[in-house]
Amino acid sequence: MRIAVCVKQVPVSEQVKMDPVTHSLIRNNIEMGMNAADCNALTEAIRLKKQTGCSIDVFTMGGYEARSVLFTALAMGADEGYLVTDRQFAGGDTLGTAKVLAEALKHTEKYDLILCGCFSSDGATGQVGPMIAQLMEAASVTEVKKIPKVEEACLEVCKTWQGKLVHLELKLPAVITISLGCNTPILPTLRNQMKAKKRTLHEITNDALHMDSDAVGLSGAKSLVTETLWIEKTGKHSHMLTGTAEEIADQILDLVEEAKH
Amino acid sequence: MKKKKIGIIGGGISGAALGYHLSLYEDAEIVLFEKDRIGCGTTAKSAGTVCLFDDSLNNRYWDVRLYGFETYRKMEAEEKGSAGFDQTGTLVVATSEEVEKTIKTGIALAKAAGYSGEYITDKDKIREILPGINTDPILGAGYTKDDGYFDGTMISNTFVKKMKANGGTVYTGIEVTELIKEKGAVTGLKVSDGTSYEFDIVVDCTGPWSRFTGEMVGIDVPIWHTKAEAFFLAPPVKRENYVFPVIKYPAFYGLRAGENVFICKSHLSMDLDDPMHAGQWNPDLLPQTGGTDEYFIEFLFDQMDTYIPELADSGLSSSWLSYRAETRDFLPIIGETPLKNYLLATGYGGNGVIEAPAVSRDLAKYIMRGESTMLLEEWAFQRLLKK
Amino acid sequence: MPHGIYIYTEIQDSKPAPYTAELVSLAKKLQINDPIYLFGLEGTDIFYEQEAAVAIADYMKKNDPKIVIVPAIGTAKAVFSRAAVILDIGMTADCTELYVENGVFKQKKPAFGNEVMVVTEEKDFPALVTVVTGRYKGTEEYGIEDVTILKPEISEKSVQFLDASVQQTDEISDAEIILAVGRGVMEQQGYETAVQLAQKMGAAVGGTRPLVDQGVIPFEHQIGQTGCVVHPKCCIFAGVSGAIQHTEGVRDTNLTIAINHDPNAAIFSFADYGIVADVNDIMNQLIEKL
Repeated sequence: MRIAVCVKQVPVSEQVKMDPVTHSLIRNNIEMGMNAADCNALTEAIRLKKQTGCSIDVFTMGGYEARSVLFTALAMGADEGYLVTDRQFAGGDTLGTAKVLAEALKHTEKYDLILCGCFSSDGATGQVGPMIAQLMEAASVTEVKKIPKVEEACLEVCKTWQGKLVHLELKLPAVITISLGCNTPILPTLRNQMKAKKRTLHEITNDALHMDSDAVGLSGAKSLVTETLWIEKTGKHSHMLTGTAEEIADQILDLVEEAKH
Repeated sequence: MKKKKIGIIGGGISGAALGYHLSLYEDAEIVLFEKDRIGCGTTAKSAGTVCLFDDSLNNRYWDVRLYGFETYRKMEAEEKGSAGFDQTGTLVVATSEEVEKTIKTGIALAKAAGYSGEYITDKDKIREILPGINTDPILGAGYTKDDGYFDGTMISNTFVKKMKANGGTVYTGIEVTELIKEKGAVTGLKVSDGTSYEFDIVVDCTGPWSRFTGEMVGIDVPIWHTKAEAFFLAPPVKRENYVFPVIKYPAFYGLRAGENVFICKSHLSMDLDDPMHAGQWNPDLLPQTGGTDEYFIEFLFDQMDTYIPELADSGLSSSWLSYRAETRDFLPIIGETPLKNYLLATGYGGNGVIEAPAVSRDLAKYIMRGESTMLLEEWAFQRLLKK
Repeated sequence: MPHGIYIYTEIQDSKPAPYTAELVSLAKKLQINDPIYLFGLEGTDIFYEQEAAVAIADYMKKNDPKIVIVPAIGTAKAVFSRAAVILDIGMTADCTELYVENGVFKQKKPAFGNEVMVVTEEKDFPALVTVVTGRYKGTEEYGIEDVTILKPEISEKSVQFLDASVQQTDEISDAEIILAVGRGVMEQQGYETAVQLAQKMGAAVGGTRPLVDQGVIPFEHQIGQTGCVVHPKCCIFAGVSGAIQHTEGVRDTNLTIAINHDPNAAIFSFADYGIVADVNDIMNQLIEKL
């Protein structure tokens, strides 16, 4: 079975600034890392690899600096890393990103299973995974929490819904998105990081994909950001409780009792 | 009674310790200004090790180290947790005869002060203390169970709490924006909300920010920033009832952080003229996490692979970068400057937690009574101006 | 000519989902005089993402809507993402505000957590937007007869629904009360106090990323974007600054209370109730009273 995992490099830090003109994040001086849900997705893929001996290719769309998440992926246990990069791809919306990734995946291999994180911490739309599935004309299940069974041509997956655990059988080829925090992500060891850094990454540019520039990147975006507004003070401010520590403790206990019902 | 008004800029370990020691004099009126939160800047990223036998501070100043250690032990005895003490024991590893000699000296000093210490050559025993260690490249190790690490942030908060209890004032979230001079002497300062304060003495306790603080008043504070890059590793093996000790090697040190291990490169191996190690940067631009250099991870891997291979197979959980305020001779700058009434208590170079209590005790006495000490004389700004 | 505001809903237990009235309210507030229609999927049909997307796309092609409003929930976003591809239109997710300005339909949504808001517009019709629900209750009640139910053609059976079992409780994800601990608690050695308090309250302890990095709490208890998403009935933030990565992990609660010594902490823009005090003092008082 051939598995592909799509990952994204995002800011890790809690302090971020946005450029009010380009509406994009100011990325200098922010620690970048692999999007958390993608870590969960890759960890799940590696678990499947241990079970079935399949191979894992990791794809990311981004600039040169995105290579570091591919090295991290290799250090975690992936087999090959693909950097999908071209100026024309930059600035795209979710559909633009999905189109590029889908094309890169199709260009590389016939994958049985494609895993994505359920959403990214710096966009949080959760759209790219299902969009890739649509573009590849494959079935999809989003927000998967567990993959209890793996067979040649199908999987059994679980997701939560309305407090219940739903079991679905999914025929391959398929795309699934993995729920944030559904497993403990593999931490790459120092040794594996050193080994990974010596590996060669594959690069896929638009020379290979021949995508129409009107369909991708900034020019292909169908939903436009027209303004950026800083929130100095959001409308919401907590209702402040006052009194002695004892009085406050009483108020808290009352509120909690009420909330339970 | 006429009180002496002292303004302290900076609420890290330096300012907090000084504030507390000044507050012990009833004729002192102290105001401390911290632009963020107490002990949450450089101090928060320090390891908090005050090792009994260790060469991060030359044994010439053994008394300073001992005073720091005992101050915090007493803090803990007064209120458990107020110094964040984790008594894990310390293992100092000898990788050469020279290091072995220093360790044995340290053990002698520690024992004289009433603490335990032994030099172990039995490699099995060393492996018991640190199971993941490679004992081939080492001669032996010094060990004490009486030692461990402290928490600089907790300590700063405790000092500030005590200072307030003695009548001192603290403003957090307030930045000093201007220093006021009159006839060649500092007479006060202005802060970010526009308020002005009059002081008889102003002390710069801003550590890596000291260059900027000094610039406000025309003093060139000769500190460099050395990079303190720390990594949190998740060991592959969990051991029941095992406590990871503070470990010291010439090039790095480590300690436990909950279930993980905190490892950092030691600062004495820093070359101030090497742009990879040191420079003059802006601490405000430091990211909260990350910011570490590739070559540091390579260095870390080499060291771990050689000395503690189990840690080379540990997951890299996270990292952070901090700046140590370092002077050319790796000793702090304490006391008077060419500008009257403007004093420094900075340049602790990563040893702030160890050195601040003794320095603050002496500096407070100097400020309030005009009496100097040998320590103040050796660590005076003067020595740097001569060179 | 694109016409009509179409609102998507899911039918559960033979009723349109609770957010339906809220979405209709939102649509009415736009004061676009187009008619409002309800359409949706029923029961387990929502899991057939591929087939449902086709059914939805067909419906939209047939009806040529001006605006399509969808709740920002996982199952809906999945099928509409696919439908957007079929129709080759854009989709703006997680909008918190819909409005019309100078005749143009606009949306406001947070970017990168809640630090910044951006205003978006769609290039094409229909303008497909997913909206965050649960912010206020709508007034009207809608019945299944008000909704055009779409039936996906699931003959291909690429996905097969097997069953839905009651979930085993997962300590923190299903906790009713969570005590979320942040750096502020660590700064004052309050972690043991917090654990004690949690035990007395019957609460699960969760924490922020720095606490996990430093090995104080296990990863399974990390709340937020790099950990789990929780929806307890009640969440108490002790010494948590309110960085978005953490608060993003707490959703759909009845009650949030924040205790922090810093009156300017961001958490006070997030929590329902706030207390500026020494965290340990309050925790100790609570322990005494329980």
